[in-house]
Amino acid sequence: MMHSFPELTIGGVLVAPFVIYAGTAIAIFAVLRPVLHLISFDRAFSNPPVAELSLYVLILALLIVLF
Amino acid sequence: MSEAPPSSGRYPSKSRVRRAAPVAVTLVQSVSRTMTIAGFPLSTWAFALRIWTAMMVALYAAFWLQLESASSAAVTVAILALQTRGQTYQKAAYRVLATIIGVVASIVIAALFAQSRSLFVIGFAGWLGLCVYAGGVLDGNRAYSAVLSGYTVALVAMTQIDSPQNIFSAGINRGAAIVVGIAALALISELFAAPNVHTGLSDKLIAAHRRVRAFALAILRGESVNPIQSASLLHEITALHPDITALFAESSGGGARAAAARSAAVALVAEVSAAGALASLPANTLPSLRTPLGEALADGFGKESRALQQLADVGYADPHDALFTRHALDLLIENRRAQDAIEDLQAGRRPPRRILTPIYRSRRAAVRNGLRAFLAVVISAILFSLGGWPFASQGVAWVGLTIAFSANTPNPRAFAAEAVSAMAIAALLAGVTEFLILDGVDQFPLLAIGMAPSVIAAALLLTNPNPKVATIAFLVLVFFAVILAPTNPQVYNPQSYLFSSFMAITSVVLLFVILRTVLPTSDALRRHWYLTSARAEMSDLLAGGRFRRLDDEALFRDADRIGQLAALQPVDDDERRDDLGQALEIFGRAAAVRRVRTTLAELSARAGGRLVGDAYSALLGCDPVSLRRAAADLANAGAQLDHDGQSAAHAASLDLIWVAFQIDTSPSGFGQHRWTTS
Repeated sequence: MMHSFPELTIGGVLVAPFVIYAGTAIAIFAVLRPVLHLISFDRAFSNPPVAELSLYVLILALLIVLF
Repeated sequence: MSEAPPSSGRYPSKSRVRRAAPVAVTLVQSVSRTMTIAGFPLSTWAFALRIWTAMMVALYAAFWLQLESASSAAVTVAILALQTRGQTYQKAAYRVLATIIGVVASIVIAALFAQSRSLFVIGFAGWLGLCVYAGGVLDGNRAYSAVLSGYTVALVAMTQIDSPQNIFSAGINRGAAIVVGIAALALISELFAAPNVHTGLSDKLIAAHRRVRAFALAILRGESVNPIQSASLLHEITALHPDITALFAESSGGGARAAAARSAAVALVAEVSAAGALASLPANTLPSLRTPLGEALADGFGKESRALQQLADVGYADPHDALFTRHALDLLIENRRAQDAIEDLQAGRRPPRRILTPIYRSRRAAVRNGLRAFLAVVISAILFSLGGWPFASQGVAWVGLTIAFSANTPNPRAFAAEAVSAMAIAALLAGVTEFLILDGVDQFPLLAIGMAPSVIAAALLLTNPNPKVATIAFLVLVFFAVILAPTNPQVYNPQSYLFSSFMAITSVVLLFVILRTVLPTSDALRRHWYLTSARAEMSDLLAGGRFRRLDDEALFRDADRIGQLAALQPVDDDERRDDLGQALEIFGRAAAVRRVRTTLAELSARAGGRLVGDAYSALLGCDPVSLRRAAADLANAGAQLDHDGQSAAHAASLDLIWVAFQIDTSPSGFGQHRWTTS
């Protein structure tokens, strides 16, 4: 079965599905930030920036797969 | 704290700050700082290679996505070429936001004035002026985003002045290219471990704290205070504000770190203020307390400070001794606060105290900058249209862009001179790269190799400690990417290159002339504005004007003004010393008046307004005799109150005496009628 991607149209302008996924992932990540700080996420990794980037990619991939 | 050796500056070693693998990171950092290749440390080479790699990844992705303005992705990387991740991400976020605002403004301006070019230019000039004004009241990357909202109209709408129907697609293409550039730089910064802003910032705060302590110790030894030294300290602390705001974007713990850094910076400013207050008391006040106080300052907040607290509670018969004890206690408390906050910053903890760091910006200077930007665009549009040259709209866009950039620099005139040099160098490098190195090739790897020498050299020099060299290198990096404007396929058109380079160089020369002739803002004028605003605010404060900020926040804002005054180029040292001396005097008085108002408000909340009525009247009258009488009345009335009430009355009484003391020692008096004359 083909996976259909949601398309957003703003004032007649078609917005690519990837932009919506990337934007939503950023929003989810922003909401998660205080939680990450609370659980000391950055102290669990030797390179926290890469861990945070990986988490963002994970959220993005999950959104693409699930919706 | 006291078990740490003095050489460590009483800050915890890295091992105390619980971080995973700190030893390896420290080792890599120390090696990369000490090893040099061709005179540049390895860390600088790593930065330059990161920028080149990110630029090439951005260009490749933009070509692959077939974006029309693919070169904007490379330009984005050049503009975001900052050394730390936090600064880069903050600037990137503001760049996206400002581009969206700018594209919307482009569409609105084009829609409003589509029928008339003159009105279109005036509309653009007005918008740019407004944005430059907004940038003038902000700092760091926020100011950048304000001016970017303005010059985005130049890049999107001005260059499409003959075909306004293309503005929307041009804006979307530019936005897409910018996002690609940001994504590429973010990816490369993450993968190649770009430095964090918080490590550098905590080092700077520790260094500033050491200097502030040394300054306070010198005052305790009875050495005289040089206003230039005090102002330089305040400048050093308040100049960290852009770094502090960048912390939030860096990581999930960025918010807590930013709060800790704000707390540290405010405490350091308050420590300088307390030291300044001690310096204004007679040098022979409480000599017996100076040595233990110095030891307490050097060794931490130990039993000496507790003894001081007891002394402060008991009080002294001599007002000077009592005032000395009060300010000495402040000094120790702020010293401790600064130290704790820096430790919180290192550990990523949120500090107990939540405080803001408001900045001072001269609205007069911002208005003048905005007006100048407006006039510069109008004048350049007239000149370019009279010239009838091709690429005239590009020339106006260049002037708009560079004048907007210049408005955010401490010295716009120097920036204009640097922009002229940078543009000439960038045009030359772009020509050499395009027609001698690449010379018709169309393979991407060859483009990447061809651009490498210019990009890497500019990025290396961007880290130069000499601000002039660093600015020129930054501008060369940006202008090189703009003039070369890589496309897919690359168009090797010498005529187009010559015209665009000529127009770009002419524009910056025009900018240079405009900045010197149209509403020039000299340092003397700025000095006058800063001092006038300080006096006006002091008058408001004395008149009982309501203030929205906490005392320490207002103190930081005043310190920021002194920092800016200290950064101006003086005509001579004596004049500078006089100006800074005046500014510091107002700084100390404003702190005293704010403080007495706060302590009186506390006492009023505790014991009722009737008790403090005379004190407010005496404050309004600025009469030392009335102030001392009100202080004595408060001290007597306080004896009837409970323990907390007695402490509040004692504090308010001392603060009133402190204001009276300052009026007595002030050469020009303290009354508001004396402040509004200049």
